[in-house]
Order: sequence, then structure tokens, then C-alpha cells
Amino acid sequence: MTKKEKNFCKKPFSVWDIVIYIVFTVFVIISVVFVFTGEKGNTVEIYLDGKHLYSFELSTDRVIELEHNTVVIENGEVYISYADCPNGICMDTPPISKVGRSISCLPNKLIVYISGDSDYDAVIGGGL
Amino acid sequence: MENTQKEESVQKKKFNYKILLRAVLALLFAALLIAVIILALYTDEKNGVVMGSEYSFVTKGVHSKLCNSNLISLIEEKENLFSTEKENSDIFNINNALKGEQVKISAETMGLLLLAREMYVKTEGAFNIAIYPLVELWKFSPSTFNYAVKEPPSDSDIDSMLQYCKFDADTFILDNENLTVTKKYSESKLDLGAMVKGYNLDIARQNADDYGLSYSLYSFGGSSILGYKKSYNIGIIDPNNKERVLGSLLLPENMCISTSGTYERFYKDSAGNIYHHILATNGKPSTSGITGVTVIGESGVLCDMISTAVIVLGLDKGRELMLEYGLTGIIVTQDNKYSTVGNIGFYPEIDDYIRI
Repeated sequence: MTKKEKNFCKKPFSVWDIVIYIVFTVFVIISVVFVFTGEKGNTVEIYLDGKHLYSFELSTDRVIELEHNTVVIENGEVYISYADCPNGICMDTPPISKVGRSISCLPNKLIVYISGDSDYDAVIGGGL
Repeated sequence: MENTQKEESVQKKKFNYKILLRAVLALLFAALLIAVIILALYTDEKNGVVMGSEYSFVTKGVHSKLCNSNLISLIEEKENLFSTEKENSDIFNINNALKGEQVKISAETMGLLLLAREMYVKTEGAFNIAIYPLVELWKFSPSTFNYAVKEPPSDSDIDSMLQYCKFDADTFILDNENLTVTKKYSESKLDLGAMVKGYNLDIARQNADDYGLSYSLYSFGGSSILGYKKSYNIGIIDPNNKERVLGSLLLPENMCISTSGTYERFYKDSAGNIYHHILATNGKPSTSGITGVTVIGESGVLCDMISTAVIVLGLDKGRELMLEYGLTGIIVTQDNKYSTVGNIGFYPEIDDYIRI
């Protein structure tokens, strides 16, 4: 071992420690923040009775069969193709494709909602 | 020779030990740091259905889960007061009572009825919670509504219903002291649907205050929003074209925003005529030409009531009403015009509408 190394090992705490900790901290902060707030594609979130069931990419076509409803993701849009509710309003609702919009089957407590990056924190006024 | 070799191995062990200690400390530090960051960034998202409409909460803060679960419970409890469908709720009891019967209700329900009475008088009947028998006749109530093509009720059916659909002191006696409601006609019925989503915002605000929440976005029915302790950028969907956003505005901290629109419920008859659910004082869908109203103010329930009233009142009287209550907002007409009321920072995103 060289003299430098010996000195390095002898001192319990040195300037180098502080530098390494700072660099390490910055690295951790950046990576955690990036993971949590990084850009993601638009996702279809499905909630049933207040519980989050699924997250699916809006870009991938898919048919989701639930007990009382069938949700379809197709060509970047999502709609409810089947429901056993009495009035069928959810089935008559046009497909949605934009972030912040939702289609719900209220009697079955189903919410299908598109989340992702948006210019707005929320949208209002699209109807039920 | 042997001595230095021993020294070296001892040195090496010390060296390894120190590095190991540092590595462990660094990992602990990193773990602590990550935990702190996650807690700071933690956002609780809740979506579901309560009291017949959808809710969406986006809340910051770790104790938000508890706070919002409590909020849901609080609102579910209100179903026992305000629901038209739930057996033995205050409203259910009033609706099923016979004329002359003194129906006992809670102080909270009475509070909303008195507020509704004030608004009924103020708007000369434009805001009317007693219009429910007509809403049912038109098939716009939650249990009867669907998009199927159907014929509207006849003029004579509408006319004969009108007398039951007044909310004046004669048709509905509200006894605040004894907390009773007495109907003049058995056929009369009430519905708080035009007030409840806004009222939920006020409940949400009080609940968040009680829990000392940092900040949150509360949304009910996609038509009533509260920005709790933070200002939020809200996109206003074009009432004439739901595919696009009319523009955005900044909802100031702790303010409520409520929308009403003719697009919320409507159907067509076999001839293609469109009938929407916001009935005017003549018992038929309002012909004021207003398709959507956005109202911003501190009180959630007030914004909700006024957003409905303005559609019936029309542009001039509607704007007057909003200004009288110190509210701001936007009124949109069916012929692609819009008007802002009061001082709001509205950024239009369409260029084919005329601002009036």
C-alpha cells in the first residue's frame, strides 16, 4: 500500500467521505425522482368499487372482461362494449382517448380513466 | 520478511473492515433518503362511485389515505339523508309522504332545503329542486334515463304536473324549528341532485381541514372540483364539442368550480329533435340557448346551484346572478359564443368561437 492509501484508511472521516456522500446523494435523488415522475405513456386505469384493479397501456389493443362489464382498448381509444346495468348509458358513451377523461358504469361502480401527461391538472364539463 | 507479511494482512483486514462499514452506512443513508423522497412525493389517487356519481381525488401527503377514506365514509352517510332512492332517507321520506303529513328530517337536510328555497325565490323558479316529478315524466331521473330514442311527454301531461313542481312556501312548508317538511300535494317530490356534488366539495374541504392535509384535488361527477390548498390548472371541455377543450383557467387555491350543461343528459325523438335535461319554469327543456356554464367560487354548493340556474336564466340574467353572488365563470352558448364573467384568467384554446 502506498502512503496515500495508508493515510486514507487511517482517518475515520475525511473530506473525500463528504464528497462521495454528496455525489451519491445527488445520484440517488435524481434517479428516484426520475423513476417516480418520469414521462410515461398514457395508461388506462380501471377502478372497481373504489379499488384500483388494472393499469394498461392505451397504445396496446386489449379486451378486458370483468364480471359485469367488458372494457375494450382499441386504436388508442377505450370504451365499454358490454354492461349488465339497467340503463346501458356506459355502452352508449362514445370512446375516449384523452388524458383526464373517463367512462363509468355507475350502477356497477366501474370507472375507466385515462391517466398520463397532460397540460391540465384536471378537466371539467365532459358530462357523466 | 514474515513480519511485514503479517502486518500487511492485518492492514488489509482493517482496510476491508473500514470499506465494509462505509458501504453499509452509505446503503442505510441511501435507503433513508429514498424513503424521505417517496414520502414527500407520495400521491394518493382514489377513484370510485359514491352517491350515484363518480369521484376522483388526487392528494399529496402520506396521511391522505386515511383522510380520503374518511371522506368517502362521510359522503356515504349523506346517502341516508339526500338519496331519492335509498329507503328512509330524508328525501325519500318527503317524496313518499302524503299531503299534509309532517315529515321529520335532519337539520343538515333542512339546511340544504332552506338554501334551495332562497335560490328558488332569488331566481324566480329557475333553480327548482321540486321539479323532480317533471324530471321523472321526461325520463331524466337516474333510474329512468337512457339514450334510447323516445317521444317526449305531451303538453297536457307536462301542464298537469306543473302545479306539483313549485318550491314556494305554499307547496312545501319548511318548519325550521321543528325540522319538518309538509307537502300540499302528495305528488310533489324533491331532488337534491343539482346541489349535492357541490356540497360534497364543502364536506371534502372541512374534512381535509380536520386532518390537516397538505394539498389535494377533489373532483365529483366530473363536474365539481375543489383545489384544496393549491391552485390547479383546469381544462374546460367545450359543451358543444366534448372532444376538445374550450380553454383552461387557473382555479385559485381553496376555490370550487362547478359546471352544468345540457349535454349531461339528453335524448332524441323519432324525428331527430333533441331534448335535454335542464327544465325551465314551463316544465320543458330550457331554450335560453346556453349549453354550458362554469362557475367559480368559495362555496361548492352555491357554485353547483348557480351553474344550473344560469342555464335556465339565460346569458344576461345569468351573468347578473353570478356577479351578485361574487362568482366568476364562463357561459357558453349553442351558437358557438362564450362569455367570461368577472375577473378570471381564462386561456381559450379554440379560435372558432366568438367572445361576447
